[in-house]
Amino acid sequence: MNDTNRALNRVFIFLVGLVLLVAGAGAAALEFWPWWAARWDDARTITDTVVADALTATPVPGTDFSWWLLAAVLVLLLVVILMVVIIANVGGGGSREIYRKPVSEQDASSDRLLIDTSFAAEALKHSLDKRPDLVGTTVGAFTVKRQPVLHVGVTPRQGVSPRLIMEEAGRLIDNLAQVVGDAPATCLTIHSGLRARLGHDQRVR
Amino acid sequence: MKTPYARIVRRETHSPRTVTTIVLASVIALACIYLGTELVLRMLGQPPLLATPADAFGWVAALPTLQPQWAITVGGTLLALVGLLLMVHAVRSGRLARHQMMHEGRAVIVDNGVLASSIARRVETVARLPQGQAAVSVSHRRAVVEVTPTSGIPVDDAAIRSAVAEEIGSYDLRPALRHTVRVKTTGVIGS
Repeated sequence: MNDTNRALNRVFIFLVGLVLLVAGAGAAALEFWPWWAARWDDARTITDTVVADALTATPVPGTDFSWWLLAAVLVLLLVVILMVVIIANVGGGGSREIYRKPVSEQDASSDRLLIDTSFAAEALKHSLDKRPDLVGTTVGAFTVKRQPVLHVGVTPRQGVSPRLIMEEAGRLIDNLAQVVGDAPATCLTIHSGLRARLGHDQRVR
Repeated sequence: MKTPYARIVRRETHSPRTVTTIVLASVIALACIYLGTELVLRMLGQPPLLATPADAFGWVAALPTLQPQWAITVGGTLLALVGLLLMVHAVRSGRLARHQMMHEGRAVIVDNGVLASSIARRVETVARLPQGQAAVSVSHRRAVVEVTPTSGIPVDDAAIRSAVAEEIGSYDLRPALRHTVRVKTTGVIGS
């Protein structure tokens, strides 16, 4: 539940797919579509002369290469930077606080009360880790629509009722809310996984 | 201030396609770095790593005349297929194997695997079966329970059915689960 721009991810993947599809189909069609192969050859003769002219017409003084090569390197560099930006934009959106409200209800400009995520994480993890029916707990917080949301993830052992987990975890979150004074918006995820399957069975035979 | 639970649930139950995006962006960046290196080597008058820019350009231009032609067709088809798969991947919903459990004032998301193992445990307890003789698979709208009785010990079909219905009912899932219970006619030797 982070800030990844999922629409952007989709658009990016779609565009890359489209380019690959067009390029691949273009290459594959050469064998079966003589008209297309002839067009390819035409383009080749045209670009050969145009590119050669362009390269010889714009030499960098004192060298044997053209400004166009420098420009191409620059464009490639820009693409690399764009890719790094795309990768860097994935994720993020974590929140350091689970609670931030003005101290005074009337005066929004008054000092603000902040409750750190690590406080909630320590408290919840400490309580949840004591439970024998859970094998793992993660607690964090995210900002969703400018609002901090507490995220609690638990991995129960095999066969434990998720309803039971939800009620138990809910009680702990309510306790936290009593300390804090206001219930934080909460998202609870109950995971299955390798740890649940490999963990010791609690059943008495 | 209203909590955007609908958005949270949507984001928790659908794939963000982060891995694909990072892999694609990395591959493109590496390809661009390689091309840039070849260009710079050409400008410095150094020997190329694999092929000079002019050679590479000439190779692409000569694609229709290269031999064997079938290799180019196969390569192009593979490339187009990868592109098509990426486009499908971009458009599909990317729904994860998870359900929302209804709870007022909280977003609760459960993996299907947790639901399945919990239902299985309940069935085994009710039917007094050893662990592993109730197999449950949970999909988006359906739970299939398959019970293998221990040889010679009949199981209470009605009790299993009502237990499954009660267990699934207690979860209060969105989307709701329908269920099928099948009791196998051949048993196994109990453990």
